[in-house]
Amino acid sequence: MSQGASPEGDLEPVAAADTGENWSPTRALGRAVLVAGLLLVAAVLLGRTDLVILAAPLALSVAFALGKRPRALPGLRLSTVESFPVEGGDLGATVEVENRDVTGYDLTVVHLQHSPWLRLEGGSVDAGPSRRGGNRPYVTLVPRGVATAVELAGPAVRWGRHWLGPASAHAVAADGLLVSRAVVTGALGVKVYPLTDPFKADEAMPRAAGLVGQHRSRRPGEGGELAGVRQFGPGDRLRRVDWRVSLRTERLHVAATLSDRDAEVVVLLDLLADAGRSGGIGGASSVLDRSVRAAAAIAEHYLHRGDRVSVLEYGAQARRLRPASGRRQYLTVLEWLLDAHPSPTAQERGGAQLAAGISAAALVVVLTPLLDARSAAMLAGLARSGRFVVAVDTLPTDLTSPPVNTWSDVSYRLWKAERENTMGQLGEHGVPVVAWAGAGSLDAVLRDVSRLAAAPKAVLR
Amino acid sequence: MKQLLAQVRDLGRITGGPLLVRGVVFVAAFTGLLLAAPGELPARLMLGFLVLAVIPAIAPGGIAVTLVMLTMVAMWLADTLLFGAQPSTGRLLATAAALYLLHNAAALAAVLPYDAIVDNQVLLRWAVRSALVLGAAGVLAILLATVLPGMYITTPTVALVVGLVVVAAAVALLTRLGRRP
Repeated sequence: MSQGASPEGDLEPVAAADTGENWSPTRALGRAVLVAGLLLVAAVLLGRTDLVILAAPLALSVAFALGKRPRALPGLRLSTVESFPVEGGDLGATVEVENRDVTGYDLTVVHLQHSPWLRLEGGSVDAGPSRRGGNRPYVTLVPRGVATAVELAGPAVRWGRHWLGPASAHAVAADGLLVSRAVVTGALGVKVYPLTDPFKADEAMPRAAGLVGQHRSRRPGEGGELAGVRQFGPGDRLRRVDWRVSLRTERLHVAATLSDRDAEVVVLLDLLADAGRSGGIGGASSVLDRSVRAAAAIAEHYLHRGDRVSVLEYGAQARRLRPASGRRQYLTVLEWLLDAHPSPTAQERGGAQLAAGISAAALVVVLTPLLDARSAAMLAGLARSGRFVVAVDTLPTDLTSPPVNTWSDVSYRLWKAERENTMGQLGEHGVPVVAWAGAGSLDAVLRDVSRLAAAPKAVLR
Repeated sequence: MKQLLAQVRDLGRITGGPLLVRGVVFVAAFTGLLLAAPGELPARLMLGFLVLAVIPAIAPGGIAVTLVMLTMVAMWLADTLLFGAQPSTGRLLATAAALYLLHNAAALAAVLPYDAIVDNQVLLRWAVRSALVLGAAGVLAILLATVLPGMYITTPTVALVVGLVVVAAAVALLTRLGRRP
């Protein structure tokens, strides 16, 4: 998977092929020549054969190593397996080093830089588990005319757009006397989709619309939910006839049902502020993590039931995803969520402005940590505009304030009390606030919202 | 101070392969110094040798390797010239092997990142090539010992000049091998 057309980052050695600049001598070459030369000069001057014997291995090794020296640079290719991992899913990457020279390399040092959220470890190189991973260089043997692959695999521990690469490699030849220039590949983009928290909402939608869907509406029609038994009328289907009641009353009766309708769900992500530290899939989660995972779960649930879902951003970028239904929309939502970043802004639209772009019948699920006062004002504004609003509190429960001084704890408790007060006030304005807890999180509040929707309502226009 | 702490923390990342090669550097340096040193050694000098041998293992890419090799040569010359020692062939060959191994292992250690995951084949190939060079040098040494009359040869001036020219040519050749494109 990559951003761009090709899933592979490949770089051919640039222009300088077949020139001496590709390979440079190391300090070891100078050392060997210096010590061997001094020993030989001393041997001749002093007439000593033992010094010749001392110098022999050094001189022989230099002559032996440099007899056949490499010219071209190693070829390098970075590729990744085309897959769509979710958080915690495995990802594989391969760095291939090719020797196109007339002589074998002693070794090739391969570095692969990647996002810290990709826990890639070497699979092909033999190493103990404690020594693996952690952005280490890999040293491998590349004989003449052969390509050696360093295979890395590991889980992607957090959602988002991550980078894999660039990879770089330099080869060492002639017993460590020559070292090549580094060859570098381009970087690849890797998309890791958020893991959807288990989510289920059994309660009715406040106001279903359209003619297809799975929600029982309050209108009679073709559907699965029994509304009652009434007398047969023109247009009623024969298969709806309730024979038992008809026989008892001696008049033809049919079973009346409520029509099934779909609904529009608007998931609004409050990205004005972030809090907490993300620890990946197994660790702590930040506000953004919880918001994105909850948004993915809510979208998946309602899209699976045939509803139309749109996603909005409350932040500097103000991105918006048009409402649609189906599997394609679910994938679009996941893709859209990858670009969610905290984007604080000085001027943000109020709830009434936001409401103008939201259908009056839609259920608005606002995922907010309620850290910014404007978020509460926006929620109240949406409710005043007559939208059915449910606020989901995405502030992590295990969030603690760092102890700066003796007043830190007191001020944190005060801030929490003030926040709870705001949540209570929002509840009074008809905006239920519920903490995100996965499956069944919204059931209690959806019941309240449905009841409110059924009641006559005064709306500010 | 912060840099030093970071370096100490990084020590925990060192892997087996580079550690082994640096161990060979240390052993070769220490053995070479012991073999080249003249006569009986006082304990304080032994400690000095230990410290001196550790430096190339810590910094194999630095100038310390050259200095230790030159120290070995200097001590060998001092032992044979000043103290008039007559070293045995075994000691001579062992010193030559230690000198070469120090150079060769340091060359490998210098190009191996300390925290690299190293394929075993790399170390195996390196060891085989070193053994080949040492074997070839050993054969050459035995041939020299057989052909030449003794360890000391009294040379006429002409032979001295010819010898120096040969040495200069050999060094020039080695240097050219390294520099040619």
